[in-house]
Amino acid sequence: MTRYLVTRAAQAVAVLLAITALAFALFYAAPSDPALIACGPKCDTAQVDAVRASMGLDQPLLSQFLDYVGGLVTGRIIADVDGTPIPCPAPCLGYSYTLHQPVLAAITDRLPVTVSLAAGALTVIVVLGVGSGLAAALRRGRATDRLLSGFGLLGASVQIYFLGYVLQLLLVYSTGLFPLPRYVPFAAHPAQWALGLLLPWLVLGFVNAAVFARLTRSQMLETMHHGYVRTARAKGLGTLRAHLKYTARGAAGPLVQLLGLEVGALLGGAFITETVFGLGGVGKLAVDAVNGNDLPTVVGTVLLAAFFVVVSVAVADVVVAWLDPRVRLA
Amino acid sequence: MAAVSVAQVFRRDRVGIVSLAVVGFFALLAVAAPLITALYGKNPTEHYGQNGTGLLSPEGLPMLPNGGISAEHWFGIEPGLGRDVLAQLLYGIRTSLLIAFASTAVVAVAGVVFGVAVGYLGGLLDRAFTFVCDVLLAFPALLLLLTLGPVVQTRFVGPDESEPAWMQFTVLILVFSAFGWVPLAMVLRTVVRSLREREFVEAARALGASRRHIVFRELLPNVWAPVLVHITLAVPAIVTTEAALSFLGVGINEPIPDWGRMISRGAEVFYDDPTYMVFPGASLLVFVLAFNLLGDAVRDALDPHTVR
Amino acid sequence: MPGFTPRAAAVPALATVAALLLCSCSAGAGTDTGENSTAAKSGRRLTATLGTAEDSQGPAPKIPGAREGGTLTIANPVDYTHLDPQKIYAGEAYSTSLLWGRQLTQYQIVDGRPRLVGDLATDTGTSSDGGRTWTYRLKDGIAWEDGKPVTAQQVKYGIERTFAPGFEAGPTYWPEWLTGSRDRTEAVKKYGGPQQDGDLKAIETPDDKTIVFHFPEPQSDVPYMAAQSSSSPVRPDKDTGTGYDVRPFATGPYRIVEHKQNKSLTLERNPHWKPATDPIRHAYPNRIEFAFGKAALNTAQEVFNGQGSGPTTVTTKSTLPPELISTVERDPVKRTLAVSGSQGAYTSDLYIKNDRVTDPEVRKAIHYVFPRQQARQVLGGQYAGDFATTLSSPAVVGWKKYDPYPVAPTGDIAKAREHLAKAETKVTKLTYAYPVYSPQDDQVAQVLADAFAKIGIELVVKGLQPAAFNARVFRNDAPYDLWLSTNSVDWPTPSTLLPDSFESHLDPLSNSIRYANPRVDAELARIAKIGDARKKAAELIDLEQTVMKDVPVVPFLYTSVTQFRGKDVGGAAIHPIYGATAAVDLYLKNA
Repeated sequence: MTRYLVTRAAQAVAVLLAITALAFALFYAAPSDPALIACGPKCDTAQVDAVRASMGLDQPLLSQFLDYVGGLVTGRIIADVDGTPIPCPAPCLGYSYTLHQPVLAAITDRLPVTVSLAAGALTVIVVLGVGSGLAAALRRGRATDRLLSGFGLLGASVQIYFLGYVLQLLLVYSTGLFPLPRYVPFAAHPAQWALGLLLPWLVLGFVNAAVFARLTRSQMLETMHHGYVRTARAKGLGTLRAHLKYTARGAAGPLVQLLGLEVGALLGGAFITETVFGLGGVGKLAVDAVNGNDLPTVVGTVLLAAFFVVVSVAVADVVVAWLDPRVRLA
Repeated sequence: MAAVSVAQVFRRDRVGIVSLAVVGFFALLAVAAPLITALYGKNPTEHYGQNGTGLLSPEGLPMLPNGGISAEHWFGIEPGLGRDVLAQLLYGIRTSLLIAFASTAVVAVAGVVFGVAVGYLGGLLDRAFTFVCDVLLAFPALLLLLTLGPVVQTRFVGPDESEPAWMQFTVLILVFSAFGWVPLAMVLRTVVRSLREREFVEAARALGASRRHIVFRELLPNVWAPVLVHITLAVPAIVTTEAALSFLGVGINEPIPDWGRMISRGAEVFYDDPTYMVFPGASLLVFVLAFNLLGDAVRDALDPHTVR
Repeated sequence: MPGFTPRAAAVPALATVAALLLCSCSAGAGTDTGENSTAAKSGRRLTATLGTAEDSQGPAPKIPGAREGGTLTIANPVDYTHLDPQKIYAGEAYSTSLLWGRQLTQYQIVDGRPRLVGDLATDTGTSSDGGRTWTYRLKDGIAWEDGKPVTAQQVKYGIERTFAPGFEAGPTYWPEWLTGSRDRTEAVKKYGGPQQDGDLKAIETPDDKTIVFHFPEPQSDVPYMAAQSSSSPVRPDKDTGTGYDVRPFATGPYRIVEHKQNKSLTLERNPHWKPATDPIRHAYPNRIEFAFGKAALNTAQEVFNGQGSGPTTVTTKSTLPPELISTVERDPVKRTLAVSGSQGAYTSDLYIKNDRVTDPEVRKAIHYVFPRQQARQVLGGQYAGDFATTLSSPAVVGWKKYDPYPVAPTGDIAKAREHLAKAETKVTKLTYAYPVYSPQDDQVAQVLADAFAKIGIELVVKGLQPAAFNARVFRNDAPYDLWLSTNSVDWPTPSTLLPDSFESHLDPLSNSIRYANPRVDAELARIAKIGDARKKAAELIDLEQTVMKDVPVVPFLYTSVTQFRGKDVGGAAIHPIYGATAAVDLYLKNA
């Protein structure tokens, strides 16, 4: 198991390094000049050059990249527009000249919004997806199965940027059935935290639950026919208990892996949800950074999104390996 | 399972047939869009609301109720410019489908080539492949697409030229393909790996068949089922991603009609003119739903083990 | 195979779609012509007069009905790019930073009328030596937030900072004027800021209360420049370098107690600010909390629906989202919560690059074909502003209405064709660049392309990222013939308009249209020597009329702005100079 863990971790680091390099190359090929933006609209060429030099943007791309990676590990000193040193401790994701803030601070400021959104949505997805998948499997072929799968498919086909607006108009602004989507810190007011995010959670849950429902259903149906479940039932174990005890466990592997992907996607890719509901999380930060040519923030958010995907997938792999020792050998 | 019986199974699936009909209908609309709009007497680019009177208010909203639906403009007119919504929708299907079909074609080719090659050859190639897949899967593709537009604009388009339509399409198609081939290739790699060890391949190898023969004659004919399922589900996924891009303000430029852009503009005027968002939104929903149902039907028809 | 699959449930799915379609019915915009619209009316633009020493005495005229106390929330979508007074360079930031910062002079607003008065100084300044020397005296009893007095040396230090590296973002007038240089780059070679070159000889401080500026050339607009944020004092012992951009030290009615970047900014009363010294600022709320990062639409919904902290919330940055315009227009209660006015001296114009479109006949054709009404309709009709015929805004001192080539707002295709026919070389293609802030900008481009096509010109439209716009368009070799953009003079006199953008030797960042006319250059050089502000303004406006006969630029709109305030917030009005809700006038009705 230890060897597996080490290999898996090494893989994850290698993938992240590759993504950093890719992000760096791509985004620094972008047409805009961060120095120009930091300098302001009325700067002439000489002034922009001065700013560019003090920001270190006149260095070759490779040395900028090595500085960046070094900063991730050991931290580094970044020059402000006027050359003033700004300490940036590890893990340093760079400094945003637009936000006047280290990128890491800008991200951690907004992370609670994204994490809250993801946590609630994930709960809804798991409850809705796994629940309806279980129910559909147990009632296979009956009306419940039909209805649940149908709604699941509808959810998978509808777009957040369509459903989100429609529901906001109908449920929030026209009727007031739901509170205005907003973020209140959990520590400040748990009830308002939940209320403010309720609609985004439900929408995200509805849209993403179908995949889980489908997988749960097919996994359940597959394992239900395995010998050991039949044996348990033949031995007189109640149907539901037999299912829960043996079937669910056998079906858990792929579900855990899907869950890993979903966690990564929710934490790293809430661009549209946050835009639709006007929540100021990391996704919104990323979109704003792209629009405002805030390259350090763009690279930082890309790295963070990739980090979440890589880590949650790796964790899921480890969990699966722990559940099923055969995986480790593969 | 022979192709004949697949078709038979599929034909017995009513939902599958209906969704195929819907998809076919959309495809027909896309192909026939110029003809239909000609008969309808409107085109997707003329600013009817601005050039005519009594159609748009000074703030640019349709004056008639329900988004300006009238005998002239069956689905109403667009707020702001006053273009015909029906004509825009019809031409929007062309945009969506062109991108989706072209990307899917590239995805299918790339997925099969890489998947089969890696699955068959294995070894070091397999490790490199897994690494590339991991990187691509973890990369936030949407952010890349957001940034790529301006990069392409500056690197490949003269500053005094509009980005030609073919280039906009090509960029989107290439990026969708760059990320889209990964899941297909991964599935095929697994399939081919297990096929490689099966008796008929072993037998062919023992008989001294060439690699070429094994790949083209023994392996490829056995992977078309997962490929077909994958591409049927890839089309709606690409259509929605393209619409999402336009929603975020990148994607195909004006004046080429685009559903995502219509939805995005619809979101802005939603409180005053919900009709304008509902047409593209609902069309997209029906289209994607039909395609997803079709994908399901194809999967069921192809997979004899499907438990129902 | 069973006769159904789970997919049969597509039926409920489709039923839902149908339901959505049914509930989407909406009322049309109707035939309301917008007579009673909340959008700003024309003719409300007011030029700033110069106040006397008596006007410069505090306290500020009380706002009828205003009350003291309470906590006001200012919800803006983004944090301030700069808080360092010498880096601030935007109307809204000028207006809002009055809460904690004071300048030599400032605009006093009474009943919406602006008047320039002494702020730290006893008056708007006295000039001698034909405008080459300007003297200011500081008032008594003005203190920093720690109680120490504000001195002339600190005002001087603040202005010296504008020369230093890192202050490129701010206005360049002080460095240019004080050294007699053409641009900042030239100026900083002569003096590089207090850290580098110590004392700046051009500013004298004979005592703690007196500050004397010596300019190599006559300068008539010093009183206006003295109102810019750059003319704020900075105390050397509190100058934390780039840290000062996050938390400046206060002289105004409030001090910054906490600034969480991009999240919040909290202001409390500054106990050492004396209302008797201040003719401009009210300080009604006890506490002001800025909340950054929430989307404009969400803030607007909270404000108009009175949800959460909506009733005590106001915005100084967000404009009324297009999503809500009609809803607000229709609802008489919500309508009162919209805060509308002309956006200071901002104008929106269609710029023509004169060294690419050299033939005046072609430029006249552009003037006639320009579909002003259609373009404005896309931008929200009257909410966008009033049609303009002049280059400078009516808010500018000395403004006169002129209209050399009257044209219907929808454009005149026939006239445009006529002028195009007179052109020496045939023009069939023009390029149009624009910054893409919203999809409406793309639509305006379509409107223009449509109109130009009617006179046989293919308009190549090029949407650019806003952040990259200036860099791509304002350069000599940029291949763009036309662009639309909204700009303001730096203060409401014509002095920064023609001289700072039509003089042929200026770089493309300033003279972006590459206007070059030796006669105009000579006139500008002559007018620059005029030390009297009024005379100078009048001459510049006359010159402007001559310049505009050749249509170097096509005026489009005198822009308007509509913001919003919670129902318990009083005193909300658009600042007539800075073009945003004036923060220093706000109070809470239920305090």
